[in-house]
Amino acid sequence: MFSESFLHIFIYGALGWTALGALALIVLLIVDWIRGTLW
Amino acid sequence: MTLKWSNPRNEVVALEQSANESFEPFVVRYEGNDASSVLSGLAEGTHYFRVGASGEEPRSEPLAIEVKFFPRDQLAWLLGIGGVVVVLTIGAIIAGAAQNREKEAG
Amino acid sequence: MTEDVFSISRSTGWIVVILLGVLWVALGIFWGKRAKNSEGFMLAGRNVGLSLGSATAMATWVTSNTTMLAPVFALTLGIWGMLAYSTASFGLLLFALFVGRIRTLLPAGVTAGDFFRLRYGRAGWSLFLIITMLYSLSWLVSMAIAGGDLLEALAGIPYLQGMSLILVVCILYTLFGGLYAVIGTDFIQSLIILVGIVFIGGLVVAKLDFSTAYEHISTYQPSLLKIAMPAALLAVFNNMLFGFGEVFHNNVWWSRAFAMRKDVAPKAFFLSGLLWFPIPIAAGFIALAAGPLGINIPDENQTGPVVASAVMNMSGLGAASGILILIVLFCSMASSIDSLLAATSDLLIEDVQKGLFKAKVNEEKFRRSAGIVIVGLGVLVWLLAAPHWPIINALFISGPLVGSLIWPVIAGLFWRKINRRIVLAGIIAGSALGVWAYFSLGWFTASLVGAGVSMVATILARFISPETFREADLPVQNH
Repeated sequence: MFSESFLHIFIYGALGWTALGALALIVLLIVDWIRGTLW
Repeated sequence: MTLKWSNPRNEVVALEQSANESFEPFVVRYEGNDASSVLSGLAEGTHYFRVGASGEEPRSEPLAIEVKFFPRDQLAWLLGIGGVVVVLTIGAIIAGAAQNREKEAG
Repeated sequence: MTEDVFSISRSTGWIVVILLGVLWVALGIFWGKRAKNSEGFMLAGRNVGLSLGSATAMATWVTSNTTMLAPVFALTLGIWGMLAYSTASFGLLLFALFVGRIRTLLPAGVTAGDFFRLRYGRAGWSLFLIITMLYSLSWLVSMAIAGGDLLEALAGIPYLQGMSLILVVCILYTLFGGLYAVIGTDFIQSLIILVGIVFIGGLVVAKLDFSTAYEHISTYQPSLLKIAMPAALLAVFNNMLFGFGEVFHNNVWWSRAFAMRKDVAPKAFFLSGLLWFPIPIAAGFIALAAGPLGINIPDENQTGPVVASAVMNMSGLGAASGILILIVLFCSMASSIDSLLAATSDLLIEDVQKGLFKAKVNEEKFRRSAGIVIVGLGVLVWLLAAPHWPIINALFISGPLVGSLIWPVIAGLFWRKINRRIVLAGIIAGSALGVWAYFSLGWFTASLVGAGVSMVATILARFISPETFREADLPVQNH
């Protein structure tokens, strides 16, 4: 049986990771924009 | 799995589950107006279900559901094959990419 | 049975979808102006950077299946079900190792068909075309159907109208903007999807008391938390291989590999895999909350929307919940439909028109013939989606077909010698045995069997009278 704390980490981890992904995309977009390397 | 029942007068219905046919003890798995409920993750073994108008008699005939997992020896084989295929596939890609990198660098 | 759960009216539904549609089409027209020639239209000028590149690969891989099926996997297979779904991201991570080689092997390449023609000759290329068309069409059609179903379930818009609307929007902006429009809209759509999933997941976590939820699940749904669940582990292997097969062969990914700047492409694919990995868990775990929160799920296929809107109603968000779910799901569908339309029509133009029928497509007439192909493909998808057949099953059955292309792609990229005939026989045998396994052993073995059989054949082909591959000898592209 997976433990309760595992479930905790599993779910919060996934949500945090997804949020981080959104942030990373925005940061990368700004960097590409400034350097003129969007497309 | 999905359990369905008819609820023509849109009454509040209770879905009860028990480990034995006499429903002692039982738990209410759902109570409301819907005419179906998806149940999942049941342990291996036999489970009994019945429905009826909430708080009133009568109840439906119990429905026995047997939960059985995939036959274990067949599963062991498939798992073994699966592991080998996945490992070889990933290995072949990593090895190929590494060789290619060397070739392009050299 | 679900009217009381979904609280948006038909007119609200129409307004949301039309506003989104107008936005995508307007952006498509705006970005489409960048496409000065066929290479611009099909490959966005081969100069796409890291942010747009990662976002478009990720968004394409987030389909309505991800957001709708991940909760179903969580509900039926538990923790392992979500992990099994997440391993589909490994396909993107590994494709990152391909793209460098793809670009040196095919410096002027346009489609995945170019690769199969170079490596496996006309016979191999035809086999590839048949498999990829079956797969791409069933993917496209099943998504159009999912779109129609979604608008009907969420806003009561009749199936045929909703399905037509989603399809027309995607056709229009792909038609005007080509890959520029697809990539640009994909970026916005990725952000909406990610933020929407985190928002809904956050609400569920806020409503959930972890220790009582854990107790509830371990009492009533113990199998969902079991560590030793061999069947689920098998599903992990199978899904991973299905994902490999889908990504490695399909032109959706190859055209992106050709569209990105060469130094950026591997990084962008790797990053998109990393971004994708947590999504099935973040979107799926809410199904585990259904039991503890007392949310009844009347229909398995609606697990995600039912739980999400129930939780948002509990949080007092009412009508906003339906709108938010609609927007997230609409974006996840549009971001894949547009990419598939673009990549599949590229394949039809490049491979079928130019390759199979030897038709000359010159630069002036290119936009016109591209337009005809995109619209024609759209009409075909509409015709197949209109009867509301369960096409999603065709998509699942295509698992072993695409799975049997995994090893031929690896060998074609990285090996120097091969016996083509044995490889092709392996693709056919793998497809056939995989489809047999689907029906007689269970869906969670099909891709594994397809990939395994073709793997054995491809390895044999390396040692039994192999011929040396020719290096790039593509006919000069007339750009």
